[in-house]
Amino acid sequence: MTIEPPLLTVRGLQVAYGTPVAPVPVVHGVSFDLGREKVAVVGESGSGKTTVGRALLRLLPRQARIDAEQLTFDGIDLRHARESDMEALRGRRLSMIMQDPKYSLNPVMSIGRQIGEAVQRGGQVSRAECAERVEALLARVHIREPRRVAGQYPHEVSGGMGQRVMIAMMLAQRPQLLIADEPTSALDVSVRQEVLALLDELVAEQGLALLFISHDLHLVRNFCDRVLVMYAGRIVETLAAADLAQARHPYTRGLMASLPSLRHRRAVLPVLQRDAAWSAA
Amino acid sequence: MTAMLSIHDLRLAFGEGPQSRTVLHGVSLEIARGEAFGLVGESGSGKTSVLRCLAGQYRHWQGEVLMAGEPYRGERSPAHARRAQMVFQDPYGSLHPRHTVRTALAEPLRVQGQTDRLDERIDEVLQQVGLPLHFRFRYPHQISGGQRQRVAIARALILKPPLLLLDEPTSALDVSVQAEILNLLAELRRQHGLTYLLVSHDLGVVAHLCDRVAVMQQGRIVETLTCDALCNDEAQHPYTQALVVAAQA
Amino acid sequence: MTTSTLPFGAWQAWRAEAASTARKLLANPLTAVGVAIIAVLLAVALFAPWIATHAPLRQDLAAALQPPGAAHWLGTDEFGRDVFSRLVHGTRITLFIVTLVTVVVGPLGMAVGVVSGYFGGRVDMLCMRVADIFLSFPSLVLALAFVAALGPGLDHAVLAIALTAWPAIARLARAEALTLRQSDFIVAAQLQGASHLRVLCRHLAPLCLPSVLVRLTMNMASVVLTAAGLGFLGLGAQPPLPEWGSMISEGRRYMLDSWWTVAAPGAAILAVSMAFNLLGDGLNDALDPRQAS
Repeated sequence: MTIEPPLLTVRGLQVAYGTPVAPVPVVHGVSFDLGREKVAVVGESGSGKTTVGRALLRLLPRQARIDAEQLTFDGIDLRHARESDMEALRGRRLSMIMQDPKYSLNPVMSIGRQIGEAVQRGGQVSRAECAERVEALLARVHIREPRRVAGQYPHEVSGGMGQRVMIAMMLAQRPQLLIADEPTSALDVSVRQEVLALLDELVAEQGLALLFISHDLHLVRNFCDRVLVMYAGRIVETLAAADLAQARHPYTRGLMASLPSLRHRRAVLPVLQRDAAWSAA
Repeated sequence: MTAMLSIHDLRLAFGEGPQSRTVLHGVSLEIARGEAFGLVGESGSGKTSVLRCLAGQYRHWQGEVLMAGEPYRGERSPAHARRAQMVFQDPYGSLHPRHTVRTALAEPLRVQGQTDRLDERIDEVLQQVGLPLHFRFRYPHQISGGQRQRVAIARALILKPPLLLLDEPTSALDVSVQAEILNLLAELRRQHGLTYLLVSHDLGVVAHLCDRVAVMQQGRIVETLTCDALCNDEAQHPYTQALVVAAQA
Repeated sequence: MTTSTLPFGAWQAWRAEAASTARKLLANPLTAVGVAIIAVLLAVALFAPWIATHAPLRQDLAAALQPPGAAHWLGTDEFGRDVFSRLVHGTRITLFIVTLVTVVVGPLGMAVGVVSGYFGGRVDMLCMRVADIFLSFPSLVLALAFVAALGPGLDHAVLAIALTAWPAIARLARAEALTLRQSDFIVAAQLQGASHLRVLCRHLAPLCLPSVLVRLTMNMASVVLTAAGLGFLGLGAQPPLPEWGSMISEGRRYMLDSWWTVAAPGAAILAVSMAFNLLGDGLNDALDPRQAS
């Protein structure tokens, strides 16, 4: 394990909607570090996990107010970055892939053109060279027949392939940090493994830092290094993925226990009993 | 004892001529009364199409279907409604947005002309699914996803059908809510001797609720086995084995 | 969510939803202005005989073409009739036209549209081709044809306007029905054994209603203008009825010297059609299910 400083440092991240007088906090007091590793942010709907990911890229609606004690990416203070600075970072050094390629890929542009746009962001290249780079990227994500796929439209390819196209787009600028927001939730179980294996490969090869947002505890247990469990806008537990079976917070234990499992069949699934104390500090 | 549901050589295709796409290639299965039967597969396997044929959404299928011994040809009649009801996947889409819970639950009774003791029966079914009685006058947007799914289950049960068709009833719900709904479904089946045909992509859910399961791939059933066998790694077909491995990964 | 704010009776539930929609509606200041103008229109129409200062049809040639003043608040026209009183009584005629057209066009358009969208296939094709035929007539041209055939009159004008306005509503209702007929709750209703009629009336039509209502409200603005146009051409309300359009037509000759004969009815038409537009806009935002709380 390298002892370099973390790529991303977050301390006391808070995101709130509403007015300054009556704020509605959605994320509260979130702190974590992210190095060149795979960290999962796990939670149910309403836990704030997607908001955390979007807050880092400042992709939230204008009414959202983002505050943090510290929000540093590779030495850059993201709290006071101007919008032009954020634009330079987004897609180039900080990137994101989302859940459903059906909705996150432009349906009226061919795949090659969309990836080409991502390539062009790094500086003008000739059309021939752009096409070459697009094909190379598609090959990098293990798509056979990259030239044919480059000419296709998003609705003509399967979900798994669409997600790989998204990853290819993201790779065009060789980012340092990738935020993946439920990237495999819309995919079939068998395809899921392939996409995860691809992400694994990229993390190892390019030293990518990966923030993996998911609701699926079992998935992140096997895929990620560390897990941050969120509930009602707060991180309730941080632990190594391998230690999930020994989780200590009752919410994490409750979540793990209530999943139906093939190995461990029970007549009645334990139901999570929510405690109001979990949503307080 | 006659089977509750008997499907023989169900075939379904869309389009005509060279553009025709076969979705079901001769699916056959039998479910005994009181049994819970799971249908597992990935997207494109045809599992949801089987349900849709049984619900009367698709009419142009071929094959033989017997429900409680009576032949079924795809009609949507009040008589069929009393034999089989369906719980849908998306709790946000399966309730009419402008109908209160009470209206949604009264509707099947009104359609059947069973309007005596209306409120009593509504209250009874609300209690069975664990919803407080004051939920009667709420609109769907005022209740949570899990609660909507309970209303959907109540609506399916109010006519007391012996057969319940379940289309991924928990896949759109949070993990913690899923456990509650699965427990509810198991309990209801035990209490009322219902027969379930459950479609899911989640082997864990199927293993929890069902006695037997059929694995579908590209419009065909590749294997039918008991859930016990499935959980004990006794699956024979390589696709089933792959699904089991993926489910535990 | 505390139980005290949640409904515990069917009537209460409905009332709470209606109140919430009304609040959303009036929260927008422009919409509130539109609602206010229409409320004034309704009040004036209702209490016209008491609000008008003179009899609208009484001529007084000695006081012809008087400018606005103490005796005649908006002046008099070429026959000495009080413009203000004619304006006030004209609200009844305007309201009559708008209501009649809406009451005919709304249900007819919705029925055709919803049936067309729900069943699809041949039924859809037939309905939409019939709608196309009516859509291809400009309302004024059709009104001319009616007048030529049946003679001028307010009811013929109304008929002409209605016949050209229903296809737009039908198309809108059809579009909504096409989207909604695949919904799970419709399938659920069909699975319960509900007849097609029941599904259409109890399940599908109530959901198509908001966009149809918005469209109808905006339609009212153009109905006011079309009726005024017909009146201006002498095809609608016949003299001496104080319909605003025919008031403009009659006042045209004296417009340059006696601007009030034209300005007053013109301003009234402007105010009312803008009010309907504003209301329609506001209704659109308030009734949009995507913004439901």
